[in-house]
Amino acid sequence: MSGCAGGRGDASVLRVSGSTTVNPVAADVAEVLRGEGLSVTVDTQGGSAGGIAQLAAGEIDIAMSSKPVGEDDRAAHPGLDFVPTRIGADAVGVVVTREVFDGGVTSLSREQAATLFEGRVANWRELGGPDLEVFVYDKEPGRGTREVLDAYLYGPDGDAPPPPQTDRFAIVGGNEETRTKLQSTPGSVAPLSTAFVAGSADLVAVALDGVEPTNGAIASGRYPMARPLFLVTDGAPRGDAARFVDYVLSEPGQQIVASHGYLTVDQLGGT
Amino acid sequence: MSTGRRAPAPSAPPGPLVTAPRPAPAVEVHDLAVHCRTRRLVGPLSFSAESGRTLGMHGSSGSGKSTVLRSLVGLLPDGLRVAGRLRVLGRDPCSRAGLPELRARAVLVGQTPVVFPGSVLDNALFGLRHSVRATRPALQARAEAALVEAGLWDEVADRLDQPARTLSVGQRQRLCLARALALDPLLLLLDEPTSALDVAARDAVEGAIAGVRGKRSVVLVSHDGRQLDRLCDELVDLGASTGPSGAVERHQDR
Amino acid sequence: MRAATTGFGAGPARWRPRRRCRWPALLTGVASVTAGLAGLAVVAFLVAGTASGGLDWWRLVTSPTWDPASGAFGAAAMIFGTLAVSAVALTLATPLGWAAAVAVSEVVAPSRRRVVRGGIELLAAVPSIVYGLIGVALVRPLVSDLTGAPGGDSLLTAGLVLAVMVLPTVVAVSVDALRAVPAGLRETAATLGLNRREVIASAVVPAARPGMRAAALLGLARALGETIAVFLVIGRADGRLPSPAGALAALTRPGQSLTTKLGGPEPVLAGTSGAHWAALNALGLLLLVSVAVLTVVALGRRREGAAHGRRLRARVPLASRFRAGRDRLSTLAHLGALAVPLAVMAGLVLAVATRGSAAFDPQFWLVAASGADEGGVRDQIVGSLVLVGGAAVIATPIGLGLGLLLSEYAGPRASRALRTATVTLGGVPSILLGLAGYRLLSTGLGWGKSWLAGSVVLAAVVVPVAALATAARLDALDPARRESALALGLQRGQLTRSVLIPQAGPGLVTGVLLGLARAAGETAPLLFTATVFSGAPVIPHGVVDAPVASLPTHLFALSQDAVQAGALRQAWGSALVLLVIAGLLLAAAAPARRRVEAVT
Repeated sequence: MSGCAGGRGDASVLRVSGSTTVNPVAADVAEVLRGEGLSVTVDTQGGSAGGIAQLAAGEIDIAMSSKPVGEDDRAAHPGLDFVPTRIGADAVGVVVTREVFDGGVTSLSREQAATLFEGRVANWRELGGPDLEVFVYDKEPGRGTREVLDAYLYGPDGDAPPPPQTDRFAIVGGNEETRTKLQSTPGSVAPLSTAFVAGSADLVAVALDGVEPTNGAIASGRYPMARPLFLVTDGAPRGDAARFVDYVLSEPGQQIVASHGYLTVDQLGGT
Repeated sequence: MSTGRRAPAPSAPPGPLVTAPRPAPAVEVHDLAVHCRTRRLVGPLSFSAESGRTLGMHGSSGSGKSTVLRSLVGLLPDGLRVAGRLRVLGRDPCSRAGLPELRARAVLVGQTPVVFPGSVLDNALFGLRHSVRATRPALQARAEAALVEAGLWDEVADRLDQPARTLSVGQRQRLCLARALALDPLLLLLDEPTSALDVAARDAVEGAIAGVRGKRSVVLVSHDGRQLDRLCDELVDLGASTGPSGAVERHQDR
Repeated sequence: MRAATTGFGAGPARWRPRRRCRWPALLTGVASVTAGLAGLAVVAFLVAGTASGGLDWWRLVTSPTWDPASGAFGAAAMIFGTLAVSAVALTLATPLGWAAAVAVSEVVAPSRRRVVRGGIELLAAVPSIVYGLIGVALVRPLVSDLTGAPGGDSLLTAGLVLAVMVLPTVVAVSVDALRAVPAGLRETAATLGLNRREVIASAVVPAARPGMRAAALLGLARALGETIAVFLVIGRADGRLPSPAGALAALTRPGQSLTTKLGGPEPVLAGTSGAHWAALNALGLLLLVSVAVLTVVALGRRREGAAHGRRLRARVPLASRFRAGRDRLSTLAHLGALAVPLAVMAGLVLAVATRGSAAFDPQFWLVAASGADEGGVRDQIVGSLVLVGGAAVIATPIGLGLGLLLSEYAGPRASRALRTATVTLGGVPSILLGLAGYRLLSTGLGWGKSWLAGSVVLAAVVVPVAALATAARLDALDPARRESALALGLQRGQLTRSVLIPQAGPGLVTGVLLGLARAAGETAPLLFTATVFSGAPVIPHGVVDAPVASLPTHLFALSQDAVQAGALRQAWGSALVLLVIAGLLLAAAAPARRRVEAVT
């Protein structure tokens, strides 16, 4: 079923696509390798799930993913041998605006976060914050960030309830869009990679169950919404794909990972 | 003129349009010239039309007859300039102010009949309902009187609410005439009113014009000399074509 | 051999044997078949997709719950969103557009009319992604301040942005309808003593009314199909179906429309069969059918307008006491209405120009982008030119052939049906073209992301415009010229080559350039078929897996990051470059258009 997708005509182009979280790393690495004569294209269509779907369809060579390849993915594509390579880790933060954080919402329990994202909190006062209405941005389906949040709130196998029907709820796509909409909406909250709010004056990731998303907490696994970042290939990486993956795992590649605010493989304690 | 059984009384306007005494002459033109950029299209020419008389204007095609008529009601196409002194019903048609009021008293009827979307009656009411404040029945009575005056009543009395475009060309032209007469104009400007018509239709329109003769001032433009002889009190000849000579011959006919 | 049969061989100047001129008929045939197949492909793609999974149509139309995870596919909330957004857009754009059209046609001096129309056309050629950027950066905060909608993502915001996008369509089609009213009608009304307001209200507008209504319907069709600009500001929240009483309040809240659902990630995630895929295709089919019905109805109305005024009006407005005052007032009102699109145009250019100052640096045009917010847009410009150039090469012969078919080779009834089909093809939401291109070319033929797939999809945008302009120009051919050519013994093919094609030339050039101006700003279809986030080579090699960069998709990526100063600077700069390119294409069409308008 994957063979019908046409295969590759031009073997000289390495095609990478998927998660917008991994994208900054892949884009930088691609630029370096392009300088060494490798043709690489990087795309972010459909997020992590889009990348895996395109890999399965033979449309790309490496899928970027901010979630592990699920059993359902493997079941849906039995002819494929998904090989994920961990290249680092990231934490998903429950990100609020500075006004909310300074108003007293510095930490949330899992129950509090669940009520928040289920649309059952109308005002930040209910969570000990300022008198400000809550506005929830959730990620669109297929985004790795959303799956990490769901896994935290409802357990790895739990089913997330359907999106809330409140008036103060909207959908966002990639990390850049999430950050843009958070910054322009007072009282808003969204799940977002903490790397995208590092150094931001307007947005803060709150502590979860009292644990702040520090590097140490993420590496040790104490912070509950840490997630590994993957490059996924069909079978072990070969040829140009191997060159790409190897570069990301190399010293300069890991520096790129760190430069975008993610944890390196070393910090996580090796592969 | 024969009128049908249902014919309403031919007059009884709901109110006088003009309270001032009628000025004479109806049209006065001194050294009229029309230019397009630097090229002179018409004139210079001078003539006047006495009040209550029918003035014929004769000239072959291209001599600027229509241009002269249009300049009398300020309807020249953009880009044409008028020089000279014009007086129509005592007013200057070159000044923009009050042009609609002037046009409602000095109505121009064109060569090809133009009917508006809508019924025969809608068309007869078309100018009237904008210029005259009166009740609907009063306006309708006046429009019907105008249809009588234009010699169309017998043919349309039972189809007033039918679309005007179902009329024949000759009927349409008389409808245009009726539309103008409904305004009770002091002056009718007729621009080749029969040249687009066949003989029978022409006779009907001529009959209508003859019916108006003596009651209102009329300026009739035509290239048909014999028609002018039949219908007019006086004649102006614009000559064969545009020329610097502007030979305007004026002669008393009767 | 054939020379002898003509019988003229003996003359002093030998008659050349007549070879049959077949290529015009061949071109027409090939072009028509290609265009027809393309149209059929889109429909067949959607129908096949819809049939691929058990689909409960009733539930799709009535249920507001859309949850692929649990297999619930109800689109009622999206249908509501689409209708609400279109209603806001039309409520604003229709009266304004009609009044502005009256101003253009009846009030503005003829010498200035062309300039004013040009301004409005430029507004129509502004790429929807630029409207999207303006929506995200300027309209969202405004709506947020005015209505208290948090962040400003709402149906109202989307409707406001759409109103501006629909306005030029309403104005342009209405102006055409008004200019088609015979001059004699205006003049005759004036001879009866009507002032300008009365001439407009009693003589001109009644005759133009069917065409003006068609303008609103075509505007609605455009509103239904718009994706990108709406996508960025609507909030994309599923399942919002308010009670009838709450419909108005729902406007200030986020929602989802049919197009924004299709523009999101789901078409990529849904696989190529099954319930999810079927439901998505059904959304596309729903969209396509609505647009097609609106187009057909609108064209029917326009034709009825040509037959002019069937309805009799019972209501007779009586003369007013304040004629002169009302006349002045109405002139002012019309000019005021015209000022709105012109001011929007000026404001838009100003907003983009002041913020896009990056584009004033020649380096911005000549240097490649580096990182997320550095460098210039050279690769994007080159890529866009490759896409647009490819589209021009594909669309020109097909547009010419189809134009010849519409005006010359098809009989009157077939021609009318084909014209309607062509206008409908032109109204197909570009997101559907993109999805069809993605499935048929990128996946089906295995081209992957390919510049050629992008060009083919963009050509589908250009062809209807080019064909209709060509046909309109051919329709305007003086019958006497055709007759004298036939009287000289020309065969049909020769007639086409020597009389019709020279006549069609300016129309074809105009149509292709206007279509390209629109195609240059298309975003949604390229995201699926031709562009990647980064790494596309400046000049693509081959066809398979040969993506290019493009300005609109670059701008789309940047607008999502619209609070980062660097990204914003790049975004506005790119928007300005895109505007300049669209403007240049329009300007290039101007000389050919002047010839078209001078003759017709």
